[in-house]
Amino acid sequence: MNRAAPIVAMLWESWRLTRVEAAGRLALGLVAGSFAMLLLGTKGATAAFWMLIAIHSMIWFSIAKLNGGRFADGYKPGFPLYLLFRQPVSTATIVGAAMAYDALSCFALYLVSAAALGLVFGQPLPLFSMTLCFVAYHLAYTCCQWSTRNRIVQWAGSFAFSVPLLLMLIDNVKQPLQVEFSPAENALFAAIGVVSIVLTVAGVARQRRGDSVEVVPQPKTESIGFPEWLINVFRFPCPTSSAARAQVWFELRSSALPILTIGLTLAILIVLLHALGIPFAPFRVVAVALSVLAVPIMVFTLGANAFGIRRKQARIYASAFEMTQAYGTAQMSALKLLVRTACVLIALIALGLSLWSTGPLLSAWGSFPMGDGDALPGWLNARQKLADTIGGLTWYACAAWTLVATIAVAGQVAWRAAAEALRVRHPRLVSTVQWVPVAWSIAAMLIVVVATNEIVPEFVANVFLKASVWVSGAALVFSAIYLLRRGLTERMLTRRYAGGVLAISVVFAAALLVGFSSKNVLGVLWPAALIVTLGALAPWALNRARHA
Amino acid sequence: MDITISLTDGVPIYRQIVNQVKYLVASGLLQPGEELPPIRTLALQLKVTPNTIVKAYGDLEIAGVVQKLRGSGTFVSEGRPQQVALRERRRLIEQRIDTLLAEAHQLNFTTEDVLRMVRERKAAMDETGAEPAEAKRTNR
Amino acid sequence: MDQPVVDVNGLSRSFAHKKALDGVSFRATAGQVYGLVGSNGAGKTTLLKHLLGLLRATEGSVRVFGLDPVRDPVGVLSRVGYLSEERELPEWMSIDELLRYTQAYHPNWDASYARELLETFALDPAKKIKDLSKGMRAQAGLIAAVAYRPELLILDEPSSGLDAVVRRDILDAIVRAVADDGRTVIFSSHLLDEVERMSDHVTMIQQGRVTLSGALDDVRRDYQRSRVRFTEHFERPPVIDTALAMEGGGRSWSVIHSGSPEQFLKSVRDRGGEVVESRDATLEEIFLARAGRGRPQAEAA
Repeated sequence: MNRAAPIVAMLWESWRLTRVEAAGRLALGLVAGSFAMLLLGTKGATAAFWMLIAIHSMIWFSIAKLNGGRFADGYKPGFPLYLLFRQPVSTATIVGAAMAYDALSCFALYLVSAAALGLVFGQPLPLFSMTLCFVAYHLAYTCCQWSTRNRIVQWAGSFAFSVPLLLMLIDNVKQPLQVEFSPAENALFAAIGVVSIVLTVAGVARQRRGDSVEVVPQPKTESIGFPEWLINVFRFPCPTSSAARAQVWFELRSSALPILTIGLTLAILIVLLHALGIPFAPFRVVAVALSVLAVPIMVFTLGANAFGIRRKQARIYASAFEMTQAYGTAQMSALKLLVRTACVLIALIALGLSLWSTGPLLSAWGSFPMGDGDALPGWLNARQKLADTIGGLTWYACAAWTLVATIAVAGQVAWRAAAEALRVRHPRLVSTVQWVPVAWSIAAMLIVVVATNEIVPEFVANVFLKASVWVSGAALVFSAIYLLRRGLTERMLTRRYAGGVLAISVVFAAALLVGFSSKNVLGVLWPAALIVTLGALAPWALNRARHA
Repeated sequence: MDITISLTDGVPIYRQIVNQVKYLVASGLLQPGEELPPIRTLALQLKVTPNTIVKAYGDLEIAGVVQKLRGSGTFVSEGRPQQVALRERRRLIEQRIDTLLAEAHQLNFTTEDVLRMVRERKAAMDETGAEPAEAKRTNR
Repeated sequence: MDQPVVDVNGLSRSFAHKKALDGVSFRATAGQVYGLVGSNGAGKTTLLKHLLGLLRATEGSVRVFGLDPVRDPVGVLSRVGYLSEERELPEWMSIDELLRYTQAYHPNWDASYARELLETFALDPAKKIKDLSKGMRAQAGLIAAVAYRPELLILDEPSSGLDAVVRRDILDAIVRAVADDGRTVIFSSHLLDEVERMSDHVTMIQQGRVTLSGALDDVRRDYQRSRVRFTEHFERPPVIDTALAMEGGGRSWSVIHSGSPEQFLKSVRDRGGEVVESRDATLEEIFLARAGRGRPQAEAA
């Protein structure tokens, strides 16, 4: 037998599983990097560099599906490609191929985007000098995730090596932007990589020996993303007096309270890390990183999939248990969206309070080295400015802003829920639609770049931007009307639900007018139509998922 | 009530119940005036759909073996018990004879051979004082 | 009263260009037990999912209690009890929570019946679903499906993979639903003896089509199993009119046949054979014959 054949097959399978995500990360890195370059001038390269590092290693850590699945997707800890255990291939080959693919593909993505950004904007980013650091980071991370099934070890291990690695990287970033590691450091990275591979092979070999029983498919049951103990933090009896109350109980127990717990834990953790940062300087980096990431984590991860759509081995489906309860689709979706929005909001408020309360702790730090200077005074100033701005607002502007933010969170929750539910029936369509904003951003970016370099006259860029706002606004108004009408005739929406959505949209528009004190009709109409569209789309999507 | 259902010999379940009740009545194991189990009880006992029991009891009522009394239940008929018993006994034994003849024909025995053999068996049994084999086997 | 509980007309459904259901029509009237048989992947579950509105009728129509389960899920689902083969119950719930949750949706919940079943099954209400065995999951799901005494009970492969004890519990529940309340039951099963015992009507689905449907006794009467002896020795099954399947060898064959008995007799005599014995075929024999097992192969002319 040709020894290369299984390796090729494994690499092909990894590529097949990850290519969409890889494309997404490439595009995101390019867009975010371009924005940084355009907006920040000479500092743009540094910002773009850190964004690429984050996008290609930190945020996703490594390719998600190889890494045992999405966050809330019946995650099975340990080595994700356990089905390969049945193949007559040595553990070292399986693990080696997967780890090499993960590390090298991520580095290749970084390399391509860094080179492209450097070339286009004339500010070179570090390229091959990053090789060993980047690869070592990925190997060490996958080692933590794959060599053990114990989640605490996974988390602790990831923190234990990524913080020092990050500090080393920060230390070695020089201005003008370049990264140089000493030979000793590079040797250290190589050693980390080798040790990681050896440890992973050993750990996976243990799983392989002990796994023969566990790989047998277990009785199919509904698993939701949150671990059992998290769901059972709060227990209270299910009310039997009405279906709506029971459904609220179901939502609270199965997802809302776990999310709230995570949010509150994050809030407490942030304060704790800031406090620890006073005596122990290394904690300051973690504290700042968590402060920056906490809000996106809340909104994007925990605010997603409010309808509880499940994924199992590339199959997307709605829970038959919930879908066969005698409850109207419009009511069910309204209830799910409201409960989820409420708990994301509460968690956000807790996060806000926690971030605010770190002020005195930050002052106690004395300094926070970032790049070449001390970033702390600027950071404290920015906080003070924000506080002054909010303090300077009238009470009704404050209320208006709160309303706008609340409805925006609800809209985000509704969109993520609808997208996930629509995926059950129209997976390709949803994927395509989700790329529209990215594609538009790239196009807009290109046109603006071309216009600022005076290759085409400036009015072309203006016309493009204006036209896209008008066209998308018209499309939104049209789809809002269409979805509402269709939903009412097909009895997917109740009149009460449609009325509620329209009322929310009107409140949003009013709040926007007050908050912005703007006279720009389109600037109000556009988001207002978006709210109606999302509000009508969500039950529609749930209906499509319920009656596939 | 001792009834067993067989799913291998192709006789519809309601007919198996009808035959066995008739046999029980004919053999005196069910006395005239005795109550048959309620439909639900028998259905649960035999693990068959209640409608099958309804159908069987209906057939039995048409045949005059049982009668339904409004509001109380189903009882073995008081009247004409001898006539029912005789007709049923005949039917049962005729079924056996049919099978015997078919088998005999397959094995190349004439009807005369069979008659002769029946007499010989009877004589042999009388000598040993044995009961006819399978006398107690429940008929389906 | 004349309105059928379930009325499916010309229902077709494809998944990824593969026909799962092809022009299926199905009717169920109140107070009867309907058994659905067919091989794995024949379309039984797909049909049942249409009744629950989990699938939308793309071609043809589905009515349950005269309502469209997709347009009026509340109207249909509040009167239907459902136990799925996969028993999709939320892992994190305890049995007690599961029952309370279900109760909230059904005002006519019979708490004493639920308690009685819990005791019969010896289930501990405090136990989590995830800690239950397969049989206990089925029992818990069953209580949640029958304790509000639904007018229509839909059971998808209720006894698949279960031991004899739990199977009895499920059959008991079907008997009770029909005997006590005159409810309608539709269940699918690959255990043909179960279907033969439990159903008043049987519907056979093969490759998305209904190949056989009717009152169990009528269906059975239409199919005969005969033992035939030929004077001649056959290596392969001889061609006999109306025969669906033949088993045996040499001179002695058993034949499952349907249609006119006279035509069958004549065909057997023409081939130099005689019928030794005939009786109604069992459901299993019919199923295997229809599924194409032992179908007479074309004899070399």
